[in-house]
Amino acid sequence: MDKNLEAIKQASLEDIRKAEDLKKLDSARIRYLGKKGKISALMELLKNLPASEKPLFGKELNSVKNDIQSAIERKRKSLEDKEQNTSVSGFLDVTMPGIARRTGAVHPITQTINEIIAVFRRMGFSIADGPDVETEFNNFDALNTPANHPSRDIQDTFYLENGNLLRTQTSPVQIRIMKKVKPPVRIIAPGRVYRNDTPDATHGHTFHQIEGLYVDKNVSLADLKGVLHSSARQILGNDIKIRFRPHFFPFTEPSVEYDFSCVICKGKGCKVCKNSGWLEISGAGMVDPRVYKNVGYDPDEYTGYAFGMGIERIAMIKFGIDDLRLLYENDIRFLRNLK
Amino acid sequence: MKFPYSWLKRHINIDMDAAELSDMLTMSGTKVEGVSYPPVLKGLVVAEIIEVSKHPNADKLSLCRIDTGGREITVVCGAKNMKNGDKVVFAPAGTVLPCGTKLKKAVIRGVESGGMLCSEDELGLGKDHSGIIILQDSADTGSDASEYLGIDTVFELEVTPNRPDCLSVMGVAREVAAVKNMELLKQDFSLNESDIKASNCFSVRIEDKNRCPFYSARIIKGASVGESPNWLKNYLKSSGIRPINNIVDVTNFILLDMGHPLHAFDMSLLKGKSIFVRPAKKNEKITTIDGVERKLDETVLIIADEKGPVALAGVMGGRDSEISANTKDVLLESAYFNPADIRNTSKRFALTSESSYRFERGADIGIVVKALDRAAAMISELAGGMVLKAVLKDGAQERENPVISCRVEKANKLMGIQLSTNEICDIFRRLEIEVLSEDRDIIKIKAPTFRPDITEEADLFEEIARIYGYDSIDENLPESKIVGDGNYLETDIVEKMGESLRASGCSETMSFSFISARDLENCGFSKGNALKIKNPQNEELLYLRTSILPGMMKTLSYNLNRDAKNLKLYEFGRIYFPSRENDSGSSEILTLGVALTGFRYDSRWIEGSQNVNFFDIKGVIENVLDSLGIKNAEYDLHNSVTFKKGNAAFIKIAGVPVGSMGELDKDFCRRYGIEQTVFYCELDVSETMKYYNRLKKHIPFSMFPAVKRDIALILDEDLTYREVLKAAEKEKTGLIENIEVFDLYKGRQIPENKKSLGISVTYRSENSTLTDKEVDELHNKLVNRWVKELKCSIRDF
Repeated sequence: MDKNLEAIKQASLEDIRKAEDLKKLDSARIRYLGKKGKISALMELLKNLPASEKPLFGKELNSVKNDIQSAIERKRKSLEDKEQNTSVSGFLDVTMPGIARRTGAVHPITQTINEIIAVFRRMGFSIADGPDVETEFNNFDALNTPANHPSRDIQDTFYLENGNLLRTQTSPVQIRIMKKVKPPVRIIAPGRVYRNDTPDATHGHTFHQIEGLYVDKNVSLADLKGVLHSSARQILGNDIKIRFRPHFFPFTEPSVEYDFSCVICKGKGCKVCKNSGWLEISGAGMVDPRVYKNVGYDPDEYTGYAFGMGIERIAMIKFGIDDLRLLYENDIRFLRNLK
Repeated sequence: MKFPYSWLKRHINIDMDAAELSDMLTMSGTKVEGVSYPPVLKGLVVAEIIEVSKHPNADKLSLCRIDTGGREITVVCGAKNMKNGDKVVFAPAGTVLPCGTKLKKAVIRGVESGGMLCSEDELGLGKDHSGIIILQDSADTGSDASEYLGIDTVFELEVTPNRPDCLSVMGVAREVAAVKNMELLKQDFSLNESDIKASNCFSVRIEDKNRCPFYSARIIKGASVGESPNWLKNYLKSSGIRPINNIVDVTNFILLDMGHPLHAFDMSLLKGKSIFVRPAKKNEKITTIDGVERKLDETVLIIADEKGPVALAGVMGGRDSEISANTKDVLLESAYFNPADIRNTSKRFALTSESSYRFERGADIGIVVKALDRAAAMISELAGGMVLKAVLKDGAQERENPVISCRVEKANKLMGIQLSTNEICDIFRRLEIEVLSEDRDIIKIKAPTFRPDITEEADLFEEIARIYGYDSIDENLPESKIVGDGNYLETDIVEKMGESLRASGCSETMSFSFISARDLENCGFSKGNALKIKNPQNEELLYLRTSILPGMMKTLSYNLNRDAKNLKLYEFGRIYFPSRENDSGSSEILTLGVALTGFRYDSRWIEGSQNVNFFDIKGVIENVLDSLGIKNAEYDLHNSVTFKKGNAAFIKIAGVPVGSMGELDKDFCRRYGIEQTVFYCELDVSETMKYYNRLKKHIPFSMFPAVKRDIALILDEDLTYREVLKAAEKEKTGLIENIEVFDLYKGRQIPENKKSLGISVTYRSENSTLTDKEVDELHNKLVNRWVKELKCSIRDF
C-alpha cells in the first residue's frame, strides 16, 4: 500500500479513537472525508494518475475510505451510547430524582367547581352563564328583592359608575335563562360573585358560587331534597348526611338552608362546625311565583327549585383549609400541595 | 336575638333539654346559633360586708370583714367597688371555680384570707372584672348566692329578616307552641290608673299617617328612678342589653319580651304639652342619646315637642329628654312606624338600635297598646308613680292582612307531600292563622298581625312545610327528560387547555377581578376603556381588570418574595370592557394568562441550569393550541409597553389576533418589585375557542422509506424561518414530507447580521422508494430555490 495512504489511515484511526465526543468525531470526519479532507484530496490525485496505477490505488483508496467511514460509524455509536449513559455509567444511583417535567397544579377552587359540575352533568343539568357585571334588575328586582333591602346597600354591593353592579350571587343567571328559554329548564351556573365584605378568614369581597335551577311541570321540594342529597354524597362521600332547615330568601318560597354533616368530626361536634355537627353549605328553595311573573312563566303551570352552593366553603371543607385568603394568595406551595 | 331559658319558660310550659329545644327551633326555621350553658357554681354564699378597711401591708388591697350568715370571716380583696353593708358573693376556701381552681386558705401579704369575694369574670358569668359583684340588698345573707346570679342556659338565635315576630321571647314561645301543638301561658298584669285623665295635660298628634299609622302614649307621674331588681337586670344582661335604670329597663324588657320597642321621655324636659310625629324640617338638629348631633331634613321622621325634635322616630331618643336619676314624670311612647321610614333613618345615620332593627323588619301593630299598658303597669310596680287615665293616641291601630287562598293540591304537589285539608287547617290554627273558610281544595285564611311576611299563597306553603317538618318530606330523584344539549363546550375546551398547560408544568392561580389605576397605567391601558367601581374598598380595587397581567404580576411578586424563584403559572379569568351592546354594560372576555420565570427544568442535575426564554412560552402556547386542534397559528413581531422591545410576538389564528407573548419589559417588572426575567402570554380564550377543531382526521401515511438531507443556510438575520418554509412550499412535488430546523447559529464563522440555520429535509414518496439520485435532484432544486429567493448562501463545513 502506498505509504502516504497508510499513514493517513493510521492517523485517521488514531484521531477517531481519541475523539471523546461527537463534536470531535465530526471534525475528524471532516478532516479526512470532508470535501477538502485528506481522502478527498487523494481522490483528486487519483484522477491524474496514469491508467496503470489507477485501479490499484483506487482500490486501496476506497478500502481506506471505507475503513475510516466504518471506524467513524462504530465510534459514533459508542459515543452515542456513552452519551446516553453518562449519568448511569458505573454505579446507578436509583434514588436520584427522575427527569420528567413536573406537571402543574389545578387551583382548588377549579377542582371543586369541576367536581360539582361533573356531578350535575351526570344528572342531566346543562351549563349556563351570565356576566359578572349585572343590572340591578336581574340581580335584585327580578329576584323579588325589595328596593330598600339592606343587601342593596353600598356596604354590601359593589356598584359601577355606569349604574350597574357586580353580581352578589349567581342567581341572576336564573333570570337570564328563564327570559330566554321556555321550561323545562335544568341548568347549573358556576361563576364569580362579589360582596363588599372586609376580607378575613371566612369572608372575601370575591368568591364563587354554583347556581342550580330546575323548572318543569310537577317539580317538588322532595325532588330538591333528592338531588341535593345525591350531589352531596357524590362530592363528599356516601356517609355524608344532609339537613334541610327552613330559611328565608326573597326569591324562593319555601326556602331552605342545607347543611352537610361535619366531615371533620363526623357529626360529633368540633371547632369547625361550632359543635353543632353540621356545616352550613348554602341556600335553596322552590322558585317564588313572583319570580316566574318577572320572567313570564305561568306559576300555575310550572314549579321548580333553585339552589346555590358556596364553592369556597366546600373547598375549605374538602381540603381542610382554615383561611379563605389562602385561596387567593396563590402561594405556589399551597397550590402544589393540593395538586 | 339572645335570651335565657327561664324567660322562655314564662311563656310556655316546656321541659325539653336545651339541645332538644335548640334542634327543634333550628329545624322549624329559627336557627340556634349558639347555646351557652351556665357554669357549675356550688358553695357560693351571700355575705354582707361588715367593714372594709385598708390592708396593712399593701396599698392596692383591702380587708373585708364579712358576715356569711352567723360567721364572721376576713377576706383580702383587690376590688374597690364595695362598701359597708353591701351584699356580695363569697366563695369560701374549698370552692371550685369554673376555671377549675380550688380555693385554699391563703396568707396574702401577712393577712389570712378565708376565701374570695367574686367578680363576674371569676365566676364565668361575664367579662366584667372591674369589681366584685354587688347583689341586691334583699339577698338573704348566708343563703346560696347562685340563686341571685341569674345563672341560666342562654340561647342565641339567627332570625331571618322576614320573621320580625321571632325577635321576642314571646315570638319564640309561639314557634315552640306551633311545633309542639301547645298553648302559650297568659301574661297577666294589672294596671291601676288614677282618676286624672292623661288627655287633660297632654296630647299626641301624627302629621303624616302614611309614615306613622298609629301612635300612643301613657303618662306616669311621680315615679322614682332607681336600679331594677336583680331578676330584671339578669334577664337583660343575659340577652346582651346593659341595665340602665328601672324605667329604661322596663322598656327594654317589653322590647325583648313582646318584641315591641317603646320609648320613655322625661316629661318635664319636653317643651309644651304636645307630641308630634312629623317629618323633620330642613336644618333642624337633634343630639341623640349616644351623644351625636345629627342634622335632619324632610326625609327623616321625628318625634317633636312644641319646640323641636326629641327623638328619631323608632330609632333613637334625644339626649335632652332622656330618663335620668331626677326624672319624676314619664311619657311612655308606643307606636307603629312604617318600616321603610325607619330603614331610611337608620341607613341615613348608619345607626341601628334594637328598636330600629324591629321596626324596619315590621312590628306588630296589634300589640302597640298592650305593650304600652304592660310597660306602664311594670313601671308603676317597680318605680312607683301613678299612671294617668286612658291612652293618648292618634291614628288607627289596624291593619287588614289580606285574605289568601291556599290550594291544598298545589301545596301537596309543590312539596311532594300528602296532607289533608284538615291537617293543613290544623297547622294554620297552631300558627294562629285564621281560617276563614275551607272547602275540599281551597282554604281561605288571614294571617295574624304579627306575621307581616305572609302575603301570598307561596308563603303559606312554606308555613305548612316547616311545621310539617322538612325532615319528614321524602327524598325523590326526578324522572327527567333530556333538556338542551348540555352546553359544555366552553367548559370542556377550558379543561383541555388547562390539561395542556399543566402538562407543560404550569400551575393554576386565581386572582381578583379588580385592579388599580396604577395597574392600568403600567400596562398602558386607558382608564376610559375600563369599568370603574363606584364604591371600591380601596384604591387597589378601583377598576375591573382589562388584563390578567396585573394580577399575575402580583402573584409572581408574592411568590418571588417567598423564595420561589422558578415559576410556571397560568390563570383563566374574565377581563372586562365597557360595552353598549349588552344590557350589563360590559363585555366580558374569557382570557388566559401564562407566565414563566426562572429555570427551564425541574431536574437541573441532568439537564443543566438554563433559564426559560421566548421559545419556552411559545412552546407552552403551541401545545395549548395543539390541544384544541388549532394548526394554523401565526406569529409576528409585536411591540407594546409591557413587553421588551423586539422580544414579543402577536399570535394570530386565520389572520385574527388572539393574543401576544414575549419577554416582559424590565421597568414594567420593577414596578411590581420583580427583578428577574419573566415571559408572559395572554390569550383571548373566547376568540381562540372559535377555531377549536373537534374533528380529528386520520391522514394515510406512506409505506415507503424516507430519505433525509441536511443543509445549513446562511441567511440575513431578520429573515424569518416562516419565509424559509414558505419558499419550500412552492416546491409542489409532493415529495417533501417534513422540514425541521435543527440548529440556529450566530457568531464565529458567520458574517455579521447573518445567521446560520441548520435544516433537515425529509423526502418520501407515497408510491415508491426514492433513489439517491432522485433525492439529490429534489434537494438541489429546493436548495437552489432557497438560495435564489432568500438570497442566502450554503454554509460549508
